[in-house]
Amino acid sequence: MRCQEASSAMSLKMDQRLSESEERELTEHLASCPACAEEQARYIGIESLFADARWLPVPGGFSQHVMRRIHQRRTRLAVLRGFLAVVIFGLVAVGTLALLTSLLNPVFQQLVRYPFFAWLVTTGEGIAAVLRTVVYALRLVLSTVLNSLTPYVVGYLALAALLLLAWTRTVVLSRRSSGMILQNNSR
Amino acid sequence: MSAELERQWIESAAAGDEEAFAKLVEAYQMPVYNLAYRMLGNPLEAEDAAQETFIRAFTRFNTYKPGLKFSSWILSIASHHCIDRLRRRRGVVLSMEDIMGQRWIPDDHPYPEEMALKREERALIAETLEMLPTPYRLVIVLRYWHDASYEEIAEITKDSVSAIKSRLHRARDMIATHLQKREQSAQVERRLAENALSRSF
Ligand SMILES: [Zn+2]
Repeated sequence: MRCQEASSAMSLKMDQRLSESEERELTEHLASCPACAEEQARYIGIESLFADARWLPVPGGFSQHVMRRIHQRRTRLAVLRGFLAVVIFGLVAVGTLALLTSLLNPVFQQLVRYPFFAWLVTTGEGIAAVLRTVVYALRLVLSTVLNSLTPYVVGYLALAALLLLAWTRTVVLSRRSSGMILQNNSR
Repeated sequence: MSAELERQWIESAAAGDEEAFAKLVEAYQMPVYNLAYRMLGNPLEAEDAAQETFIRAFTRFNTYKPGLKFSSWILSIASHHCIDRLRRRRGVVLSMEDIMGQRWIPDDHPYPEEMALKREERALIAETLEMLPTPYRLVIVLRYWHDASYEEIAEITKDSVSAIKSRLHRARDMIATHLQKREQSAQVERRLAENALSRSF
């Protein structure tokens, strides 16, 4: 055994991690190497210094204080999340309503001019007329939407989808772990 | 505390049950607080760090793996939090609330005669820990105060067992060198004092 190996063996010995044969080798080396024997004496000194290592009692009311802080944070988070939900749903609802009104306005105007009731009564092809009207209306809606897919409209739709997705994700995650947002609020 | 009871507490706490979590806090406040105290060297900051450890544990219960020892998991959160604090130590100022809420801190040696006897030794322990760089201090505290095995220390620090072995060895080397230097300077001082004394006669 060389001095370097002996040194790490001594550390292992302090933790009762040496096998019998390793311990024998170490003892042999220490008997023939005064420098390592001196180091071992210092290691034993460390053991006796830390043998006095003790635990301090925990300050009174510790766990109550922890639980109070946890409860406060959870309440604050719940209020914040409710407020966010109201704001996001409000924005999405108002935006969607405005978009639909402006997009469908030409459709309504066309339908008014369509002789829907006349067809229904006079030709007796009421059902066919209704179907044709529905198909016509759908085609009109679709073409209007497709024609009006300006960057603004696309952007709005994407933003609305993103906000809704983000909201559902926070709710789902918080149910699972009671508040992922919290972890960065601590500072 | 039976293992079965603890398992129930953990399960309920993971589902957000504050009462069950309070039981876990009671059960593990001692090791967590004492780890923070030995790492930070300051009882007030240790109390705050220990509380923060439990708050983090509660909000991150999804990172707890049922197979893991709960003590390893909570001590791992505590160690990483203490290391964070030591890293940004220069920026840390205790808040007014911390100062006003300061409680009497009981001494670990309640008997006066023993206190006087051991004061020097306790100062030496504190000084030795403070001298050690953070990762070495952590393995020493876990080894001597928490009586943790190499495997447990590895689990807590998220290092390999062989890394822990060599870190403990290195830490002991540093402590031995420190104690030796301290001894030598004490001898030099003593000799200087003796010389001064003999010259004055
Ligand atoms: Zn040697």
